[in-house]
Amino acid sequence: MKFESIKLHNFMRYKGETEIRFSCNDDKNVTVVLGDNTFGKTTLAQAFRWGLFEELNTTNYTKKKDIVLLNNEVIATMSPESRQTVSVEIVIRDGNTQWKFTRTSYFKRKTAGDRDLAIVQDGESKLTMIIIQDGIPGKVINNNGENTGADEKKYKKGCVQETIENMLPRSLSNYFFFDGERWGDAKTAKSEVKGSINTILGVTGLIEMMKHIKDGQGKTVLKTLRERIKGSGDEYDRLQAEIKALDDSIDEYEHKIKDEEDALETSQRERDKLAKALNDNRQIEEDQKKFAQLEKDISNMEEDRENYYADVVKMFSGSARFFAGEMLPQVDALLAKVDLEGKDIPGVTVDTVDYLINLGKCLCGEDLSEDSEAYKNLMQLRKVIPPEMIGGAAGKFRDLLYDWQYNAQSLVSDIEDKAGDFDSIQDRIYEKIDEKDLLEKKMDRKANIAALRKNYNTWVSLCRNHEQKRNEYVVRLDFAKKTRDSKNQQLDVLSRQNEANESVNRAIAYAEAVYAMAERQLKKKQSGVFEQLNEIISENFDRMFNDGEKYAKLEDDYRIHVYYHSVGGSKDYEEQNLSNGEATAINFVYIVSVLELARRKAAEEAGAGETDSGIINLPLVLDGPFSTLSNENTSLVAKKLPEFAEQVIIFMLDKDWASSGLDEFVLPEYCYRVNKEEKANSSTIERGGLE
Amino acid sequence: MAVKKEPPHVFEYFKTSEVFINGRFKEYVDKMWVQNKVQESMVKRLVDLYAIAAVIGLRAKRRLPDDRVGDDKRTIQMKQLTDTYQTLAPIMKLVLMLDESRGLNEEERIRSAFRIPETKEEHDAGMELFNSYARGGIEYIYEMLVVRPGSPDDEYGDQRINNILALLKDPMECPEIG
Amino acid sequence: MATNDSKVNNARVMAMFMAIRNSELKNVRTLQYDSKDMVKRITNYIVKQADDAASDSKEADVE
Repeated sequence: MKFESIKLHNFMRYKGETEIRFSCNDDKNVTVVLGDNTFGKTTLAQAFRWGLFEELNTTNYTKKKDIVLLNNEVIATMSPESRQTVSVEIVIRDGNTQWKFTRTSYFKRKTAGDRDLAIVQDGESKLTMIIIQDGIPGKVINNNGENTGADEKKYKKGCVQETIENMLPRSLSNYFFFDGERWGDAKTAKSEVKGSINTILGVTGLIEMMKHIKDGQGKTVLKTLRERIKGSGDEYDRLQAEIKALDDSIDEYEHKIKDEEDALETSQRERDKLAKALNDNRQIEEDQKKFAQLEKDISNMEEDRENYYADVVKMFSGSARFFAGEMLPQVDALLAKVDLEGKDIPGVTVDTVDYLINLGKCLCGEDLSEDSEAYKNLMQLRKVIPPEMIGGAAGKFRDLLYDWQYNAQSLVSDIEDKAGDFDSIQDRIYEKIDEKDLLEKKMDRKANIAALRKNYNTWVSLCRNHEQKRNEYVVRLDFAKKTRDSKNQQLDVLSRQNEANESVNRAIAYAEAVYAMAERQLKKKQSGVFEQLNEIISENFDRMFNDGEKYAKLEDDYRIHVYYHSVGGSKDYEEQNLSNGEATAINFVYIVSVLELARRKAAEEAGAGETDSGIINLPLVLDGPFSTLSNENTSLVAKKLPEFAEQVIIFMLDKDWASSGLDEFVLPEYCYRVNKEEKANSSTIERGGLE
Repeated sequence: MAVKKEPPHVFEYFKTSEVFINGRFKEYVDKMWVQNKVQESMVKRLVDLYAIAAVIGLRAKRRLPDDRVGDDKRTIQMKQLTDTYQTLAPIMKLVLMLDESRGLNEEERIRSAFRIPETKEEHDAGMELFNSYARGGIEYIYEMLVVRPGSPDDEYGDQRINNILALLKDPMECPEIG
Repeated sequence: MATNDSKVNNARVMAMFMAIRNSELKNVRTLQYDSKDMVKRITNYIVKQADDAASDSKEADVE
């Protein structure tokens, strides 16, 4: 199946009509659109996605909710009452049949205000399909179900979208619309991937067939046929009633099983999400311990630092003596100028004078009353004789100052030492604070691991419950089916006794035979698919990564897991943290491998004489897929694509084009270039981009 | 016979009353000392600052009159003065010896330093002289420890410590004798 | 009377299988018919084929 063309009308940056025709040539099956970033290549991928699925992707530049579909230049010309359309028309070809899908949206101005250029969608989008058989177009089929005449019953609401889904499964859209820059949203559930692989391998047809003949819920061919059997006798009727009851139970069980499996899958997904978060958080538990320790260290160091400062303050508080001691030279200079020796009269001291004063009479007999001259003289003398003479006191004083000076001589250096200590610890505090900040950024302090763990355990037990219930129902279903089948056999025996049933019984026999054939076919196709795919994946991985230490394996979850070969006999260790480039490369490996598998299967079946095995060959639409790959890997991957995909449509930068080696697969008329004038808002596409 | 005379009545310095710090000097002091908060102070006790300030004021030859605006003041309690007597008293002697503002000659200055005041007037005059130098010192210290913005010669990370060291190393003007 | 013990003609089974499967594949892509319709169509087809097979073998018997 190939894309023939895409036509855009006022879609995002492409004003007016823009059409690209794609190469449907078997050998040169690559169409390339070159252009710099921001010029509009991603918009083309969006056009595919929107046209087919009415979906948009968040890009590097805009969140998907903010994307405006209508071209800006057109918006600017809109009057308050005008209505403009945006449409994308995609033509797909498969053999002699073409399908033309057109999706249209209508827009009007949001408010009447002159300056407000906001627009809003007017009504629902319209989706139509025209099937062109051998060049002859059929009627326009509307997705909203408004199709008149005989078509009304066939083409109900949603029919066009469902057709698109069947041709290009939305679940696979992440595989065949490969958006190199946005990769990583692997939200596809296992059942979708598995179903998608079934689709690719053309197994869906078989499954449908088996469903319609026997396995389906509700009416099946076999049920219909059996109902036509004319029964006779009570035993016959009884058996029929029992079979009907069993059929009802079987339906019920099948429903229940599906419900449990859906619930199980959801639970598993949630459980795995939480497991990953817990794993990330295991690190956080340790980080939290480390963080708390750092905080404690910092607090202790700050206390030390404050103590150092307090020490400085204490030392400085006693510095009066230091300052005073420094004035000793001044004191000495002053004392030197004055004769303080006083009178040293042998044997005469202050006690002598006091004694004489008390006596009231001097040695020489003079009267020593308070008002007498002799008294005054004696009092003056008292001041200058030992021990009152100042010389002694002064001497003591200067000795004191000397002591002060001596004892304070290390004050400044002591304070400087403390200052040094203060600074060192301050530096260490800064270091620790930096460490703490880094750590804090690293971990989410709000992560409540206990709650995460509790949540995780809840999902684990839910998984277990659903699995148990499912298994229970499977057992019961199995039993019911076996019982029913045996009763059917009994019924067959009875019915053969009635000749009128011959025709029906014949039909039943053929139906059973056809079913058995389908079942065998299915088993054959599915057997070894997983193993084969794994083989191919392994090979491609080795080729791309060329890393002897690692290998890749597809696991039960239908995702590729990367492992390191174990060293010394321990269990192989899984590489959880892949870089963006590695994750992209892995997904390429997946796509290329699935496509290669499809090709191999097709070849097998062709070799076995089968035509149209139903294997789907999907076209690949790739937007900037190589942006995160190395040149070497780009070339490796690029070369494989045309080999395994029926058609490759690729948007890329010139620099990636050079290393892709794809030029041998491109016809010149299928090379385009996106241009954007420097001042212009809109982009244009022109042919012949390879000059 | 003369009656044994008691030695003359004495008014010892730092033993009679508290010391008050008023007006803008209180403002200065508040920036350098917060009671019980060593991390916000630069001296442990107010009396420590008082003692340092007196010496600094003397060295820097700065005497300042009191600034009694309003009732706001800081008080140095008697107990503090008594505890620090062994430091304050010698500093008082230093002040009395080296102060040149009283119009005394050198010998008179020296003698004044070694007398215990015999009258209240003498005591008060000595205390006022001491306190005026203390005020000058408080202002000087404030300029050094609080106002000083730091210089390229400062060696350490903490500016308070740098200013303390700068003060300790400040040559200051020393009163010259003769 | 032949006991209808699954006496089926293998070549015919093969042909039926291919036809039905092709029809399913086509329908998967175009969704022309819903499940109920498909069941009806297949049933009718199988019945007709079975009857044709029977008359073929009767002719064979006769021959």
